[in-house]
Amino acid sequence: MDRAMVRFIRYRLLRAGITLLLFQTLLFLMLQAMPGDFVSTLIGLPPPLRRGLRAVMGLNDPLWQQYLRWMRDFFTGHLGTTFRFPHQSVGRILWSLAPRTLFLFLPASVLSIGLGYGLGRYLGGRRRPWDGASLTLTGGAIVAATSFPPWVAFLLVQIFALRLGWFPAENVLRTSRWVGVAVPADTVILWLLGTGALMAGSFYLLGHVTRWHQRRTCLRRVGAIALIGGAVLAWYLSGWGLLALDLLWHLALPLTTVVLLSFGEPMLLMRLATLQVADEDFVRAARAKGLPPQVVRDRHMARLALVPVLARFLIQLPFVMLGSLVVELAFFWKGIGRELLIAIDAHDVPVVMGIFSVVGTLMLLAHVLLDVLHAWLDPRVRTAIAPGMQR
Amino acid sequence: MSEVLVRVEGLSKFFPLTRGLFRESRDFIHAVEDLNFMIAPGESLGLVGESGSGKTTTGKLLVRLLDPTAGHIYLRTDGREVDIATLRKKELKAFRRQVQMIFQDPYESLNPRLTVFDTVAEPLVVQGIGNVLDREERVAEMLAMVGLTPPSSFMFRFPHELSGGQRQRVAIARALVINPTFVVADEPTSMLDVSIRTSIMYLMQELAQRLGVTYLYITHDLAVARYMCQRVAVMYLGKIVEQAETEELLQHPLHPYTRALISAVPIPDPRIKRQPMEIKGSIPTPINPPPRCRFYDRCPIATGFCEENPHPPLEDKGGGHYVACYLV
Amino acid sequence: MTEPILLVDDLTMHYTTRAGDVSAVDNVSFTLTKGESLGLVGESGCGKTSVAICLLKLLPDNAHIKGGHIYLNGVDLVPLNEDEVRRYRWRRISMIFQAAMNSLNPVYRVGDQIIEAMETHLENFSYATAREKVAELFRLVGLDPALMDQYPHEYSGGMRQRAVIAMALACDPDIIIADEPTTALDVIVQDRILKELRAIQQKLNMGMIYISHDIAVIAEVSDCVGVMYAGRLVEKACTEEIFHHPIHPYTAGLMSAFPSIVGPKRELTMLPGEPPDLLNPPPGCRFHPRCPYATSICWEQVPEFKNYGNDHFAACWHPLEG
Repeated sequence: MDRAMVRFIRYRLLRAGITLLLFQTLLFLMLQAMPGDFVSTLIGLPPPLRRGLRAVMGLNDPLWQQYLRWMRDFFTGHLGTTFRFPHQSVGRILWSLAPRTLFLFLPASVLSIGLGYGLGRYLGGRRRPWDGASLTLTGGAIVAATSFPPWVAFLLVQIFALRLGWFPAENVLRTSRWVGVAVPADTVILWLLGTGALMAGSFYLLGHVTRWHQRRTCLRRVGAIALIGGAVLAWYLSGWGLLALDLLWHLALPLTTVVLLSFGEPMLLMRLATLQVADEDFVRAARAKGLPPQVVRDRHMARLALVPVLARFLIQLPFVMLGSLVVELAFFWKGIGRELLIAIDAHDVPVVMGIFSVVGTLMLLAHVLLDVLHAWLDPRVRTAIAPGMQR
Repeated sequence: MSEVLVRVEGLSKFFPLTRGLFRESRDFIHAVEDLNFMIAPGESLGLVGESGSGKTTTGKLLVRLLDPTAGHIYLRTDGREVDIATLRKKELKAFRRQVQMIFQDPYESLNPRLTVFDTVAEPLVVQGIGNVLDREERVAEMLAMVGLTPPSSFMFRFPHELSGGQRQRVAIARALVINPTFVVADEPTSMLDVSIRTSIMYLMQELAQRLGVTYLYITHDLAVARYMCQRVAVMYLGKIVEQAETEELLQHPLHPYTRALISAVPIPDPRIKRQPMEIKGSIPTPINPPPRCRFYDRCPIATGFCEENPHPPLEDKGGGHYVACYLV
Repeated sequence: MTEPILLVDDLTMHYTTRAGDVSAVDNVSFTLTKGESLGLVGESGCGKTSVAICLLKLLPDNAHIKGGHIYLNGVDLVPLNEDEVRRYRWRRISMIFQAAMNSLNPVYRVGDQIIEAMETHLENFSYATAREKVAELFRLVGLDPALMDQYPHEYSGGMRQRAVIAMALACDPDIIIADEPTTALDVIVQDRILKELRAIQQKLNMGMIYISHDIAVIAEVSDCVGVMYAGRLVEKACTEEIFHHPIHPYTAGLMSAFPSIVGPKRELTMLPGEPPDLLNPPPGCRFHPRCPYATSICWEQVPEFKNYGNDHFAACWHPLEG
């Protein structure tokens, strides 16, 4: 992590902070621009009651006061009070629903881009074009067939849940297994996510440390087995093993649905980017050095080709999120997706706005993360903000 | 003193480096600073320098593709001197009748969607000269003049159907079709093959004599400058360091940079061994340069005097041979 | 006479395009001995770069070697497949590409890119010894060894050029091919790098094939010169001989088309016309449409590449006297 990288991250976070402020302000303005307010949607209320309600809810206060309250609510995580249940902060509601949504969204995002990267790299790296064409056509067909969420979910449930009985058709967990269990499901979910992140980090470290080692393939295989074995052991010993398994089993179909919906675009783009990078001089130089073809492809071409794929994936993320939310509904998960629909139906403005804020902030964070990843992948980006400053 | 066609006085161009999110730029690239030179009518002045010397920037300034930060560019028009540095956008069109440019890359300077005819006729159209028939006649005339004969077989071709040499001829035709008095040529032959290069250089010379065009010939190749230009100015880091008649400069170079440059040019004769002059380092980017001589940190003969005093002015050392150096 | 380390015999290579076959290299033959520097000169499209990529068998998908042999230390590279050829690349014969600064992957540190070449080819590889070797190579080309942990965009143009030269030397090859290594460099930096390259080549007693369109540079850097035109080798001799007694009219024309800053200012000769389209090259001698001495035999028969004594070869029906 060199100095340029640190400077870049700092600069990026600063910019993100400013954007966040602007974003929240924009949401507030949108809210104000909507005709009428919550009270006007309630039918059958006598005017004095309306007036009183408005006063209590602070809708009569001057605009700047409302704005400050809005900002304060956001930054304290409070996010306003829901209209449906008095004294319940939106923040708390979302916080309680977040684990399930993240349980689907995070692995789905990582798997989509991972799968897209791997397949796209393979497709783009093939030297004989006719091979690539047929595989790309197939890939394209899959992408087309899987672009409508309810259809995919329906199909998967039909085949794998109802006909074959391999996976459950709905819900996050099987209630019978969880009766009398002291730990809430959300905690287990969070621990699972944590394990996933830890494993990912460890795999990366393993690869990095054995970069130049003579027998690195062997070392890496052993290391991987050890890590996976260790994780499984840890879960078994914690006594939550079966609970985790139940959750994962219920995750399978929804996860597959979202991934099928989202992996197509990164794959096609990665293929294209790989083909374009193939013409670069340094790729020719890598071949000239006598490096084996898969090293040329994986080490030299793939890393640079990933850059535009990441950039595009950032734009795709809100749609992956959307996909997750819809899939949540299809599988009857009690996550943010379901909550959003209920709130819209009930005209529960704070909840809806709260969800917008949260999703927006998540996207902003993802943006920062992807930018940082970009800078990590391509060192030229680290100094690109101030071009006259290097050397 | 005979009349001068182009007179440049104190010409400077600075490019700002933006820093930070909201702050004004405090750092500038001094691409060209305080240039002074003159070009007589019908003359070919060579502007020689390496990349980063500011020669291309100078060319663009003279054609007003870039706006000067300071200074004057006097062009003799209808007997009067007009400062084209201060011309406003509206007045530039008339100015472009007098001054044209030929670019370096024949593959990039022609619009791939226009035929040869369209390309060469475009200046006529823009300046509102003649009608369609006149234009066709004039284009045919120009194509014949630049050696693309028979003109009828070239007129309706597209650039991708032409070779590099042919494209450059079209670029020359385009530059000369409205009879400008002054043409800036920015390395027009450096991207061409050797055997083509000679014919293009010969063509440009011939046209210069026939049409009385004055050239500013920008190049990094001293050998080409020798062939094409009567006088040569050597630029380093935004300033002219030496200026003289070509043969005089090549036989008796005075400025240490010129001497280093000349000694570094490879000679196409294996029997002749040359002695390259050692200078260290490479050309820096001129960001906020200190006021002393720009060549100071690489100069093999620099002294304390050179460090303490501002950049030396161009002085005539006899016979029109100007040098900017304290030690010569 | 020393045994040649490289013997190219009748090499022919075509590019297959939608418009037809482009005859990029046609019956080219030459030898290179240990420690010798051969300059390949010619204009764009003459096939000099194509010859180079044939030697490394770095052919793009649409290029095919149609005939001939490339004997590298006695082993013919032409019939070898990709896997077999890989062992020779960089280890026996390496290359500095045109616009070499782009040969470095912007995403990895320069040192690592050199080390990966060493790892692929050298036995008993260890990261530590490899780093030492890189440091040594950097010193040899005039770079600060500390630079090996930096990225290519942190280097200047001249520095990148030197790094690429160091990379080409990494596995101690027998032959190094330099394809216009000094374009895009300033004259003064170019001069320095040329000198250093020549010095390194002589010190390590490596064979070198220096490709350029600039005969001035070729004159300074080569022991022997091969002139290529339209995919064929039209003349080959040692440098002094070819400059002062050219046999082929193209060579003579090329020499006098180069302006020079020394000597009297002379009239430059012009070669009329343009290099031919290799999709449909002219029959017989490919230079005949531009040659002032052409007669009917020139377009009827391909002239033989003969030895005119003293290892001065040329392919012409009307060789120049004197």
